[in-house]
Amino acid sequence: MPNIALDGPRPLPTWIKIVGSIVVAAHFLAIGGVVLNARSGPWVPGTPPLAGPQFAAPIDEAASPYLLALRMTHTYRFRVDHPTPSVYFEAHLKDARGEHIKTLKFPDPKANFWVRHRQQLLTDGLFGDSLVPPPQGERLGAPPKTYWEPQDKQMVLKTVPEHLVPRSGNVMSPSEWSLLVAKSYAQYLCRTHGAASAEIVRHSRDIVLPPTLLPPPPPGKDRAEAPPALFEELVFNFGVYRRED
Amino acid sequence: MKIDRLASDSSSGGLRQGWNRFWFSPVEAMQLHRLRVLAGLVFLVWMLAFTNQQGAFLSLQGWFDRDAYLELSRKETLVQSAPAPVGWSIFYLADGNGSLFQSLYWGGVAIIALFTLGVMPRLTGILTWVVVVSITANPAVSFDADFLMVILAFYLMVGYAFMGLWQSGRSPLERIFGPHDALVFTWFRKHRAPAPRSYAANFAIRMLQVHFAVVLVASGVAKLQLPDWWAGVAYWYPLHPPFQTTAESYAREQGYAPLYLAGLSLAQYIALAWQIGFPAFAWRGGRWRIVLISGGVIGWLGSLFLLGLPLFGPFYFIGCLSYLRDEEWRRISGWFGNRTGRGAEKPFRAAADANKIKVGTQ
Repeated sequence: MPNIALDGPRPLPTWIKIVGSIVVAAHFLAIGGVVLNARSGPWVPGTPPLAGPQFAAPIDEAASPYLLALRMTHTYRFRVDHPTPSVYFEAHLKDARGEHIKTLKFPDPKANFWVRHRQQLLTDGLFGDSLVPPPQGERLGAPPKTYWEPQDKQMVLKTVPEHLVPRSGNVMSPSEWSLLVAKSYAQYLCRTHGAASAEIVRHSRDIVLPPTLLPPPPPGKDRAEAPPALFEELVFNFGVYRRED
Repeated sequence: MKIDRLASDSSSGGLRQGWNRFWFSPVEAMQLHRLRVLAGLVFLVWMLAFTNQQGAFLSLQGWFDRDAYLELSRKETLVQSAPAPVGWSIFYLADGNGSLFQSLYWGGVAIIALFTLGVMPRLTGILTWVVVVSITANPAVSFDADFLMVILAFYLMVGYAFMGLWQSGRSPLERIFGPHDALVFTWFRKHRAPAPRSYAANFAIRMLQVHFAVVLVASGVAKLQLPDWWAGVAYWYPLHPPFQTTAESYAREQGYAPLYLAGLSLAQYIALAWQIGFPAFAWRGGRWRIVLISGGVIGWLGSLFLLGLPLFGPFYFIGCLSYLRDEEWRRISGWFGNRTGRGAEKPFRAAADANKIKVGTQ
């Protein structure tokens, strides 16, 4: 009887090498297609990001089902490489009579490092506001538009027909994703804390620019001054979500 | 200067032979075993860190609930704005059944622990990959480094799925469940057999190496497309979190900002050069190993302490270790007492020599 400790593996037949080579080539061609087809930019402010090279698109498309099943669709353009504003949010829970039960803050400073990190990821999902382009006219059957409107030192959500969105040009709207996350998380909090409703309020501060990126100092001053708005905390109220089950 | 087989392949035997040597030559299976133990420990810490919050993160009753998934599936615009694609998860099988969910979660922990120990690795390798993929399914708490864990789990699964199948002398049980010598406990026996050589171990390690290099180069090049990275101020932001930075502290730093930012930008460009130039030195031996391993260690420490991010560091470190060759692992084993290195095989080899047995390691 052969001893496994002493027997080396038999030489590989050619057909295994051919099959293995095809697998390797196809696998990394698929990954290369996804990586190359990643969108980049926006290179010009206000324009959408650009797609990858034309030759990569069909490879990406063909490989998608395979890589989706393996959960390998990442393009390795990491979100953490982008400077993003700091965000936390509060959830004000109320009972059926409308009385305040408790206020929870996320990320929870008392949570362990790993849980706090996941809470931060959830919280980051509440960000992602975008500029609303001014309406060009009145479209028939256009869906209503939700945007942020200032009210009592905070921004609140307002939903109006599309043609009634202010034309000031600096109107911001929450992302669809952030509204979905806020709603889902509010429902979770209501279920786990026995609350009837949860009000989600996002607090954020913009990134602190390095001094070298500040505008040049005014005449007579030797250094540029940071604008006060740089350290201002912004409050965005997602509104009250009622328990649905 | 020592150069790995890859670098010398083209000159010593043509492209085809070089390709075959790179992908289809056997290496000591112990190389893959070591990576498995390290990756398994990371998977375990990752999964156990969710304990008490596992329902919130992973179940359909959690932060991102069933209704949210349904809404997501109905709207194409939502799918596009989600931070990660929605995929499958074994935890969805539990739906609203809390007991079943807990069983799946703790079963997943047990599977990863068994795989780390090397128990039935062919089976537990596949199941570990299933668990790891399932952990990454929630798009609301999706993290870039989660997808790097999937890479580790996938190639380990591939390696153990085929390990030992082309080697005579394996028992029927080993052919089904995987080689017995993968078991951690067997490495510490006084008279243990020499580590068998394996094509599958080499194939899996090579796949991991190439994919790791793709990750590093792609992310490095992508960073250069971002203005803050090109300007060399990318490290400024994690060092100055908006909620902790005040107007006073900012004004204080302005005095020495040019020097400080010059240092930060230099550090950042060194890191970028390491990333983008990675394939040029990863397969080289000699002093390039210091560049390889120290980069992995600094990457780990930097991602943890500078950026406050888990998982990136262990992935970088394990990825760098995957490039070490048999003899380099043995040297490292020697530093740690040689308990799991070739030294432990000496008594066995001496006995084999005494009995005039021909020791064949291909």
